[in-house]
Amino acid sequence: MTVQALNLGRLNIEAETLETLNLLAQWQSTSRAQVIQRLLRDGARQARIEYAAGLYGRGDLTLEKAALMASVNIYDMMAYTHAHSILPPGDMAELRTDVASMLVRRKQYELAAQVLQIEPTSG
Amino acid sequence: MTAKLDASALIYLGKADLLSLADKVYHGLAITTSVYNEAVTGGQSAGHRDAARIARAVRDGSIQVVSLALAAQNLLNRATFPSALGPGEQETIVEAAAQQCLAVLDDVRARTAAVVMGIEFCRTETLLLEAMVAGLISLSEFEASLLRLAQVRNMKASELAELLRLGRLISEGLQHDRTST
Repeated sequence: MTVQALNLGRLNIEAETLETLNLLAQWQSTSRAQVIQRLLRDGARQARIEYAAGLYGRGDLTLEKAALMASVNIYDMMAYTHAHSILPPGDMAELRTDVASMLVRRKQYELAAQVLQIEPTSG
Repeated sequence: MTAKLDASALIYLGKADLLSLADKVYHGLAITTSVYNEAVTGGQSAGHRDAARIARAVRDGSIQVVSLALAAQNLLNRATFPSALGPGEQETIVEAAAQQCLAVLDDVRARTAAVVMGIEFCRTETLLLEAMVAGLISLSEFEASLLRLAQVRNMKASELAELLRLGRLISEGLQHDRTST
């Protein structure tokens, strides 16, 4: 892993957070800088996944593109969206049209017409 | 008619153990190298068991891996896909367009692009209905397969209910056709 220095200058941190960082460093027998480094790395990675998954949930990206954007593989993005019940918006009319198209391809013209004419289910 | 699968469709069908049914419906399944790299190479290196299952299907010949032919490559260079699509989806769509075959696409943005490109497509759930229309599975088998797929895809309850309703309607229609002929 390549490491670059990031000078945050005088970054203000709440006293409670600072106390937590000191405690974590003590509990993990490590330095406060290392604790901050790990939390930043994990948090940044998580934020990137959350953001990309959110775009997928809004229907702005496909799952594949969301995985690419989050820099994870598609299986991990699938697991994340599944665990957080993130689903892109669905469209019942589009679903019925796709079913009807399949029936036309299979030369089931009357059934295709029936599918397009049925009353939508409520909800 | 061979069907081209994008990575999501491929993985979901694999997870629900429906790849061999899809193969029977379309008389052959194919994926592009981008989809292979994403679903198999990337998945296996991260230790995903589903990737190993797909790799086996490729090894035993039930899924063909295809490199883009010149016509598809030209189409890919000319097409202006929205940035919402990944490379695997773009390759699947142009390959289906160049080979004039069906694409199995589970993402709405990918399906919209397929409409613009004028190619035939289906989703994994309509694939199951198609298997019933083709006489490959019964209504109860359709329902069981759909429930498996819904579980792995985290399908919306309203969509699942609608698909179950459409399945019954289609099954009744097919039975009516058989008894009246």
